Amino acid sequence: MKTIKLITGLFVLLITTVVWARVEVATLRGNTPLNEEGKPPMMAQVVNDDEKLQRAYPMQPPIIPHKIDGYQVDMNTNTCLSCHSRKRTPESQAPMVSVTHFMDRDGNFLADVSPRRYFCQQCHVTQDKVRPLVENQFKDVDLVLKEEQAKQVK
Amino acid sequence: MKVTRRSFIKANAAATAAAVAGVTLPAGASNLITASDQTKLKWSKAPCRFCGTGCSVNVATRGERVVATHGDINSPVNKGLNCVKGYFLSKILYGKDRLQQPLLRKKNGKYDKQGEFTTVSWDEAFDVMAAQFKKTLKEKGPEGVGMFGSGQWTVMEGYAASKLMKAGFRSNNIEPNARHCMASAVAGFMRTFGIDEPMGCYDDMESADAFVLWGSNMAEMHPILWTRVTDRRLSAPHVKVAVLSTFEHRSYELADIPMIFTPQTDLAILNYIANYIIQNDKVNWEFVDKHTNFHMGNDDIGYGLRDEHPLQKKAKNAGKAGGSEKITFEEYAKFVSKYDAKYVSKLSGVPESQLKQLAELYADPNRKVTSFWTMGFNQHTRGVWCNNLVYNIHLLTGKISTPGNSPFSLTGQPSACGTAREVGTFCHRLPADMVVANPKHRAIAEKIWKLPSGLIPPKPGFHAVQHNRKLRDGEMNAYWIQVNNNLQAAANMNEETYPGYRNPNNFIVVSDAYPTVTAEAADLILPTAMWVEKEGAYGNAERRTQTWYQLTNAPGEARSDTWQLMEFAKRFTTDEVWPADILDANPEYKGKTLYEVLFRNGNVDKFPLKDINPEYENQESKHFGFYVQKGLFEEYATFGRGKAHDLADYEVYHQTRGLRWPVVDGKETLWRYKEGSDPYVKPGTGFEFYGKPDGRAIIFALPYEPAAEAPDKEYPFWLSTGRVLEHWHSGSMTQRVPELHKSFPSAVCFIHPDDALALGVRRGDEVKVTSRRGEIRTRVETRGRNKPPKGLVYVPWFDATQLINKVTLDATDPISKQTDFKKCAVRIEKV
Amino acid sequence: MTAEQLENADVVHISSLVVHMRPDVMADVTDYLDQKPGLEIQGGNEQGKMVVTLETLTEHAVLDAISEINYLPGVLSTSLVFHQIDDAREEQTALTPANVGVEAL
Repeated sequence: MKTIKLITGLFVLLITTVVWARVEVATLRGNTPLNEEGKPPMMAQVVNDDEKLQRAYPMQPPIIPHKIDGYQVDMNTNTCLSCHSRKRTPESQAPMVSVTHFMDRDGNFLADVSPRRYFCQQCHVTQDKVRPLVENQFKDVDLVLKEEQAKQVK
Repeated sequence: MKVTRRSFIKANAAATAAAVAGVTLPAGASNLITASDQTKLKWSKAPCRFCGTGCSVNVATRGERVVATHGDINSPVNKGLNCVKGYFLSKILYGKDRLQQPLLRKKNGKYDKQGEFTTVSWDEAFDVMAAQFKKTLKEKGPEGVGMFGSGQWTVMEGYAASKLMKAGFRSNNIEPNARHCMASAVAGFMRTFGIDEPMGCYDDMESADAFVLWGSNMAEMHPILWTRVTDRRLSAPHVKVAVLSTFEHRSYELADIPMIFTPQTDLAILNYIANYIIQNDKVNWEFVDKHTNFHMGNDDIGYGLRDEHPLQKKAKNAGKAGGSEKITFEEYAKFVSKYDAKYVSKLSGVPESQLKQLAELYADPNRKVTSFWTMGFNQHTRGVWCNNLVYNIHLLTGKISTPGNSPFSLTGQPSACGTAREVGTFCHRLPADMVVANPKHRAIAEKIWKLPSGLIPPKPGFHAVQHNRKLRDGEMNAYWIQVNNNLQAAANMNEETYPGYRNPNNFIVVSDAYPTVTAEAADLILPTAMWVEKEGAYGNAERRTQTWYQLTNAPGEARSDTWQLMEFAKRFTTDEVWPADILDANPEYKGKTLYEVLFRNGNVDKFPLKDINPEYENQESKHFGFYVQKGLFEEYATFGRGKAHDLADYEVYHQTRGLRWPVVDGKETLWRYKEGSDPYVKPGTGFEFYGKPDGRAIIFALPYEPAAEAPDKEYPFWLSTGRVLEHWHSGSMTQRVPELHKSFPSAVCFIHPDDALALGVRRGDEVKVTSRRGEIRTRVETRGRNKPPKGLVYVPWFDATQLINKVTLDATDPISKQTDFKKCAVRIEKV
Repeated sequence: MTAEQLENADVVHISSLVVHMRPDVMADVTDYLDQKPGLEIQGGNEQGKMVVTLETLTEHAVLDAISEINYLPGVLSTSLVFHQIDDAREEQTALTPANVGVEAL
């Protein structure tokens, strides 16, 4: 359990007759004491199902839903663009790189992908098959709006 | 999200009707809702929370929640781009384990070092904390208390902390974690130019004809600046990129001249280039004659280890590491002449042909060169020397302070420059490059702060690495850590940091947003507001100061660092902490709280609440009854105005995407020291390095000296540590973002496949990485982004389950006191 | 008509209505409409406007629903905005926003 556990209430009350909340500070280390080292988790596999995930918000760069082992991206070649470039999408049926990627620093559209966007993995990353260490309670804007609406209607 | 045909039609139906009726639909009802007030978000600007690049982001809020972030197209730094971390900024606020109440170690209802963490009120937290600080101040004096802050403090937070420590408690034992990060760069600037921070700016990237990366992996550590380098390289074919490191990494994907050198030999390569320039008659004499002096620096300066360490005892100049003497050009030329191609190639492992290509970039008078460096230079037992030596090359060729000609020190933290350096939160510093050792500087500070003279102690405090040693030795007993995770970050955790924090005589306080390992080792944890949960200002690597408003509220009882510092100051009176003679001479200060004398001094509380932008919340100001952030900022800005550190009026920063200081007559400065672009340069001089009394920068003769620890039979590998693109620093924010965690979930040991084969391990096998100080267990990675040469391994430090700083060595640069996290000796064993 | 019938039907009429009412009756109308199978309240505003969707087996049922709502106390008007017949026999594939061309950035 990675979150702070509150062990409170009756149990403590019975023993001490003083009410306080004892908490465990659970760090990302789990239960391993600071002066010991635990067994590292197995190396996880990369998600490779090609399934699109919903973005947290429209401007989020989509994650890469497939393996990219051995993809060469350097001055000579860009393996990502061999499927995702505008010219190649009819064959590959991969999503075309976003139109924003054709803009230079000043917002002008270029004929091809802007060099500033050349290294794909600065923004797009693969996902390993692992669980989040801690639940993230970020709320999707749709949910925020729905909650607002629910409040208004009632 | 898959939508069935029917519900899709239904959503369409609802959206159509909603549009007709002008009704706001909950967004879930349809994927097709288009603009209107129903989907309207409030967009505000803020600098990114992570590295020193200082990208500006747009933050969307809806009600109480941050719901989206993206790169700000109006920011000259990033022009709409973010790296993967920046794109997920919205989520760093929302890890489920945000700290929401103060937690104190207690047993039987009382504070106890061995007790269990128990929720307490802020009152109780501060009562216990104040009692511990008072006890230490009484027993040990001001030297017994200390504070460890950060280049992630906002400008105002760092300034408030510095004031509380230096003037309030009269202790110079305040340090930022920038000591681990930028101290060598600072000392390098001060030594060569007499004034801190880069002369150039990011605009250099669009003008340079060559880029040289000195031990910097910009592709991962400064991704947005790397997009600018990439843009330039791929758009202008004549541009060349040279990359130097001790192992191959992602920046090599763009390298025209890729070089791998043996650790520590960068010193020799730098001297080789200077020698090459001289031998080939490429010195820019007009520039050198007018604008430089030559100095011979002290050598054999030790390794910043504990005094009793044999290496320290052996060093001739350990006590005067920063000393130097003036020499002639001829003496300098003779000094570097031994660094010829043959010798340096043998020493460094870089082929002579590549060394020559590299030197030629700098020597060619028609090529504008920008050099970049970060931790490869700075985290180095000769880090200050590396900084000095790269300036030598730019000064010898006059390639400095003009567009594209730029020796540029990159920073690691969002406000390493703005807060740690400019505010002066180091143990020896005051704002605007002033130092505590200088009586005039102290007098200026006391006057601006409206405090009695003689209050600020003249002796520099303990530096960061010494903090941990003094805590372990029980000489420092009350210690407050804000905005950083030093148990994970500082070297040699087993021998210094951990025993220091858990020393029964010590009381350790940690202010953080999340339960880090440092918090776990503390005695009191204070829940803290982060990033846009408060108003603040950061200063990035190109001297750009940026502000933001409070955009959302912190959860539970979490409070900002400024709030904590100012509230804590209320718990002390001057009579308790200032000496009687000062109070007798200044009786009007008697009986006042530190809060009153430091923060109700007519400066900090000068601006009323009505000055606050009514569109934004400002909880701290409402609590204290005045515009806290503006008051702190404006008092601080007084230090630098008219002294080449000019800041604009506070409100200007809310209107712009930041400005680069000095800001004179409303105009920012892009290139310092150059006539025409820097208002402080005297007309007719061309260039003026006005940080030095004679306006001349110094070219230093400094040798190659070996590392503090090198591989041997028992520990045959070099260990280098560092970051990865997806995580920032100790991962306390980024590991709580699922997408970032899944992209790089655990630390690994990057190793050459041949070394792995020889050890009988394969990718994914568990190994122990062991040094003389400690060990971690990790897994072997023979593929992927980092490709070390044989004999070197790389382990990132973000992973709290694999605390690699148990293994690293706390050797420091003797001048800057910055730790070398890039070199120590380890052995690798299969588990 | 039950939810099961709807789910199993091959042909379903999907429609949306805008209902305009006095703001003070919104809560009552909401409670009433919540009981009706095949009807979903999609949203509303403080001025008394409400958006509902209907799933019905016949076109006739749509008109019935409109008159029924019109007779509720406080309701000023009900108008049909959208009507589409979904015939499951024509198209078996589930649609995603992606393959109907709603591709974001």
